Amino acid sequence: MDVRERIKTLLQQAEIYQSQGLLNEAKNSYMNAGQLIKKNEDIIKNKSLLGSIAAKVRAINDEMKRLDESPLHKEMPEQVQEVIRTKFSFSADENLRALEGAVALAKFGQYKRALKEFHTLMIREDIRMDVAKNIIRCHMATDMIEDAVAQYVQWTGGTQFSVTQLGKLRFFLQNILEKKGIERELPLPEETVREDKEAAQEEVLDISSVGITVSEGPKKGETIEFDVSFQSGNVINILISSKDREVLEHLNVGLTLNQVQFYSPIAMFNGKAVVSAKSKIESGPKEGFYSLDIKIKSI
Amino acid sequence: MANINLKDREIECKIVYYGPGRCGKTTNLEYIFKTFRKQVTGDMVCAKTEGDRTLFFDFLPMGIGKIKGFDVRMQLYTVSGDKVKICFHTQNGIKRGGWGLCFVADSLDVRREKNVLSLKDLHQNLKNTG
Repeated sequence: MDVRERIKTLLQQAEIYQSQGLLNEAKNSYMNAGQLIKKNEDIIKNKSLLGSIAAKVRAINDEMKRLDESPLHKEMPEQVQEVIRTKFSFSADENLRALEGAVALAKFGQYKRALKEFHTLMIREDIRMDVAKNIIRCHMATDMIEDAVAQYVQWTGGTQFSVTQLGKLRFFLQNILEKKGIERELPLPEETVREDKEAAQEEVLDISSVGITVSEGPKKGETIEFDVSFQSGNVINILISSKDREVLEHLNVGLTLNQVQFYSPIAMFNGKAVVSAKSKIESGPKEGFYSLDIKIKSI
Repeated sequence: MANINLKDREIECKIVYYGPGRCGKTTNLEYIFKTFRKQVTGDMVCAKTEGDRTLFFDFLPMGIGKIKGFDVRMQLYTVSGDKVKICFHTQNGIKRGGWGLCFVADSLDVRREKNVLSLKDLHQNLKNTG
């Protein structure tokens, strides 16, 4: 192909890619065209062409920078949030479905709306502890440490939670603060709050991290600790870097983990679990990491 | 498999459009929205960035008539990136949701590798979900 034809084709390609939003591909085509022009300056007499191409590459770079720097968690219109809340919750139980909807909002980064939903769910006694923990998680996810602490303090002055429940919330928040390297002593709950009606009831433990003993491969016998990124009932979610290949290859869906250490704010427990889901994160701050759901079988 | 509600006499199907970024998933839904306006039962919802990139998902509810006296309702979704994994990728969600899949490939030759990677990713996700 004639050099001029090749340059023309590359420039047309670049325009098509740019119109399709394929910025990397457009940039590469413009740069390839620019390099061809430089190599054939005796044939291509148009002096301003290189300048035009450079300007287009700069514009693409600016656009890519703008996209990269755009906020990761943008509050969406209410219409979108309603779809998230109603369509991304699957439980048959009404209360759990409402909770799932609020958690889905948080997972989509819609923290303000998620907090609003969680606060309305506080009236439902059977899910109140889960709701409270998610309120704290939302504040921490948006780095609103003082809000999380203020919320806990507000609860200690109220009657929504028993002493035992407040104690658990205190441990939960204290543990998160310590992991973030924040030295803050939270006030102890007062003794005058109503007695714990749920003392006799079984409650799902709050797990902050897990230690998994690898049973195969080069790291066999080694116990590796992972922080819990999310918990819903007896299913916890952990994130593993793609660099931990030896561990990732071993942890596949359906695998029963016979030796798991569950770390809660109160104590450490040994138990069993099963890997229930595994997927790779394709975009966002954790791009390249793997997300694993671990279902607790016994503690 | 679709969800069948005997009480309300409704059959509900959900279709997820899956494919690499910028391949035309949103354009597909927009075309269906424009062409089948009468069948659209609600608003088309697009969670986009300031530009025209899909940030989270697009959602389009449709009614396509009756089968044996049951109203057939479809919900079409496009979901971007890791959001598929966050919200759809649970056994509970998949089993209860009655999901169908439509893989959308980019027709540009330069995107061939992205198409293949996306298809492999889909295959792995389906395998992980059982």
